[in-house]
Amino acid sequence: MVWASPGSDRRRGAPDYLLQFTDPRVVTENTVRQGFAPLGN
Amino acid sequence: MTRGADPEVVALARRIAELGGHQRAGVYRMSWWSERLLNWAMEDPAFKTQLFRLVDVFPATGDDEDVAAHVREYLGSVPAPRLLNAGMGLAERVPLGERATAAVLRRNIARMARQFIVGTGPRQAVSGLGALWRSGRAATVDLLGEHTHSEPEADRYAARLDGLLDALVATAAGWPPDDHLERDDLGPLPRASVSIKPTALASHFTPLTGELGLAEATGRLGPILRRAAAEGASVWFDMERYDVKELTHRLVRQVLDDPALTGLHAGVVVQAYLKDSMADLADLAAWSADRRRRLGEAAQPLAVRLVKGAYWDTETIQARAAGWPVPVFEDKPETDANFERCVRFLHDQHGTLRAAFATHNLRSIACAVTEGRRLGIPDTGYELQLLYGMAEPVHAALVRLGLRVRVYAPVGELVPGMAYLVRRLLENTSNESFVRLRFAERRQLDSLVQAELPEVLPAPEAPHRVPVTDAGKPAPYSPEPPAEWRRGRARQSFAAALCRFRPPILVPALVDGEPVTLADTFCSTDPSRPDQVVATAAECGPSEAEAAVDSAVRAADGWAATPVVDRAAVLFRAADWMRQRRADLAAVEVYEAGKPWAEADADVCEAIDYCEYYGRRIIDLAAGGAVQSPPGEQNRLTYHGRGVAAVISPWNFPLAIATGMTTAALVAGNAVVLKPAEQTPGVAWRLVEALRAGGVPRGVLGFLPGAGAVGAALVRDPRVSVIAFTGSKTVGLEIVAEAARVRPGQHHVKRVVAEMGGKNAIVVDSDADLDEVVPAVIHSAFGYSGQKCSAAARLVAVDGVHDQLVERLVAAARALRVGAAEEMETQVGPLIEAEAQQRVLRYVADAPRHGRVLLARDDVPPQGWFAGPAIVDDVAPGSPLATEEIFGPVLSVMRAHDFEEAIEVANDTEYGLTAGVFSRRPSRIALATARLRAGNVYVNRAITGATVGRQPFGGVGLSGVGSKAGGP
Repeated sequence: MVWASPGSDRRRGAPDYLLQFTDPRVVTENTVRQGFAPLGN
Repeated sequence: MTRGADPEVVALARRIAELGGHQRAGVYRMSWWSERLLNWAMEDPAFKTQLFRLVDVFPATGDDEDVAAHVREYLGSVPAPRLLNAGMGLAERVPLGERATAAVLRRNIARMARQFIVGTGPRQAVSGLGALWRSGRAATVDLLGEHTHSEPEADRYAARLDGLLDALVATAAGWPPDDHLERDDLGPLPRASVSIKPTALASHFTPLTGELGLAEATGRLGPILRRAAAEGASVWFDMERYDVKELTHRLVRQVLDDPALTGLHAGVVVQAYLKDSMADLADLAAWSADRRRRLGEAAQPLAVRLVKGAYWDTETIQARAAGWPVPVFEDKPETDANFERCVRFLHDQHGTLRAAFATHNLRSIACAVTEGRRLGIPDTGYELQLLYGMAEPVHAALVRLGLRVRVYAPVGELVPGMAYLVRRLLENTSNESFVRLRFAERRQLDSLVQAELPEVLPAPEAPHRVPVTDAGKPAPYSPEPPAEWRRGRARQSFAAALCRFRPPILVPALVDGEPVTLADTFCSTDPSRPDQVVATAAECGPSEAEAAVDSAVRAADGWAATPVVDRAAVLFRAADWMRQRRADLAAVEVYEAGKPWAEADADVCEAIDYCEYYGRRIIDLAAGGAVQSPPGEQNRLTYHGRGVAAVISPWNFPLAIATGMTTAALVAGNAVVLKPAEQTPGVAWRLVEALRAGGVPRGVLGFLPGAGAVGAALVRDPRVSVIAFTGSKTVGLEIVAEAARVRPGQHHVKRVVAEMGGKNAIVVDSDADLDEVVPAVIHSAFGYSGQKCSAAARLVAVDGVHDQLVERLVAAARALRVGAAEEMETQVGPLIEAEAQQRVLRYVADAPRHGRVLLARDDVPPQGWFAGPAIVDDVAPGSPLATEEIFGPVLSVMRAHDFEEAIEVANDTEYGLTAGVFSRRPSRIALATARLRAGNVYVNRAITGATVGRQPFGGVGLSGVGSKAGGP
């Protein structure tokens, strides 16, 4: 559990406040097919 | 469209310059040292800022070492003239160096001040005024002084005014006759003259307390004005900031309607930099004409001093920060053009009004003279007014031309005079100042007087309707402007909303998108009038909680999958709904939460801000987090709603905090069940209405008015994954403990977002500006009766300022108007409920055991949950007054030997929400900001009133004990 209260730096009206109401998710996709990958992804 | 100067005006301006040309302006006749400083300031804006800050703080500095430290800190960081560097180097190397630096500075600042101040008291001043008179110049005397924050301070100003009038009338009788100064074409003119600052005459001279302020000022002025009329002295009512313009005009009219003052020569000031100055002139002319019809021809025409205006920076800074229309012309040439327009109007009204033109700009002066001559008005038919010690060559030239000159001559001590001095120095070194251009830089006169001025001037801005924010391309976030109380229409529309309010509000629950009424209900009542029911709300219990979470679970996935832009659009439409009925929403807070007008309005603004801010913020977040993608791999970081959020909101910011927590959870993709404080269900229901109007889908928002059991049921529910809470530490910690238990069927760890109380301190250093400290502390400690988690509960003052500060604070707190929240003048309203009142009164009753009670006001309305402001000094460390959150209008004062000790005292608490420091020494400010243990540290301002997007709000440390009422 994250105790985000007096004790955390998450602030109402702050840029990072919303993050507390979310689950971050990372998707990693292998873009290589037969040794070829599109450039600049 | 621009217009050049008229050839006659140019010729006259040239003539004035020639006549004055052999003299040097007084400001450049100061010591070589001061002159070097000012010249340097003109060349280097960074140095200028530091120099003026040093001059500003100077009167509040202490011993030589303290003076030297301020000099070093202000001027050590910027390139300074060699002389100063030498001085500071000396201070470091030679044992007596500090004393030498301090002495040089003292002497030179005093000398600068003497340049602009005719004397420190009436007796010293009159000899200077006599000298002016003999040199062909009349004068009007302005009393420099501290700001008035209390009734004793207002009394002192009135007494000084009275004494000044005595001295002036007595001395002026001995001056030689001067027909030129004692008569115009309309009749004889008094020799003696004073200029009055209306804000100094009453502690309530502010827009919302204006009626009180007018009564106080009128009461003090009456005897003074009757004496002035009887003994032959004229009075000018100075115009200060735009905040009090309307009140000042009302004051003048009110006092001059007294038939006993028919013969009084009285004048008012119109500032040409104001966009509405022409309209004011027209009103004044109509009023003066009407007054003479009513009181007879013996009534003196009203005099009008036309000035450019001295508070341009203040007005623009204040208006831009608040988001209000800027009341002044933003380009200097516009003010100059308007001045000329006003000159013509005043001359047209000659006889109905007596004109005075106050400027050092040669073109403006020449314009006033030329236009007067064209209309056949004699040169003595109006006055030209100039400031004492400023542009002296112009004084001499105008006298030689046979024009009638009056000098505005400030009298007073150096300390309170410093603000005046700083303004004069700013003027002398301003890029756009005529004084500087003409007399310091010796630039070509013609290019100045022939400057093209705009023909068309911007009109005062009317309020415009803000369109609903487009989620597809939102404009940058800016906070909702608070009500501009200084304008009558803001006050009238608020009063109308209060009248429109018809209790009770019927508050249903909202379950699965449907309003649900229940057989069980509970009431909220008006804390100012507890027998008045404000809202009747459905009393929900665990079964409604269960049902609301059921539907939230069903709706959560669909809502999480809704495009971010559509979710944000709900917030933007809700904001628009609120914006359209701002005063009506605030009215509910006035009645249900006992919030005085300005506090209620601010809470609604903040609610709108959350919608606008979080709506934009989620759009930014949806763009994804910054992660690297190496060749052959694509990485994406995204944010998703967690499911169902429970929001448990407090009563003290009943709309704003409920809105902040709810909209944050919603827009992040969660379904929300909101349980509002039981004291304020009516306000909370307005939030539900706003979000429904904004299009929140069925089931995504549930609303459960009720007691603590509902909140507890939500916290326990295994399907709830986020809990957002603001309230007391006790309840907060219970929630934390409860939420930590993982129940059968629960597939997540609950996250708790909680905000709790504080025992916030303001530290005041020995060099602080008490004129600023007093209102800031009063506002922080007693605003909304201290019922803010950010409120100032402790004041830590260092020895040097403690006594004076405390005396002024107590006097100011004694003047606060305690009353029902719906009354416009109310500064301190009731507490939220009977329990809160009893709690606060208990602390006050116990206070003598823990400190010295300096103030414990009990002159409060008998009905309603009132507790008067209290101030307790020498509060014992560790005592309840020093440690416990009282959540009421009780300020504990503590004394510290030095600044570092003061910081330690401030930090001696388990809480860490807000903190404040007042100091004008850069190293002390740095020390305080580094060491004060608080989530929000405020420097040289009040510690409440955080604005969304500007001061993100929240504390550090585990907030400690206290019994903050109302948190569920």
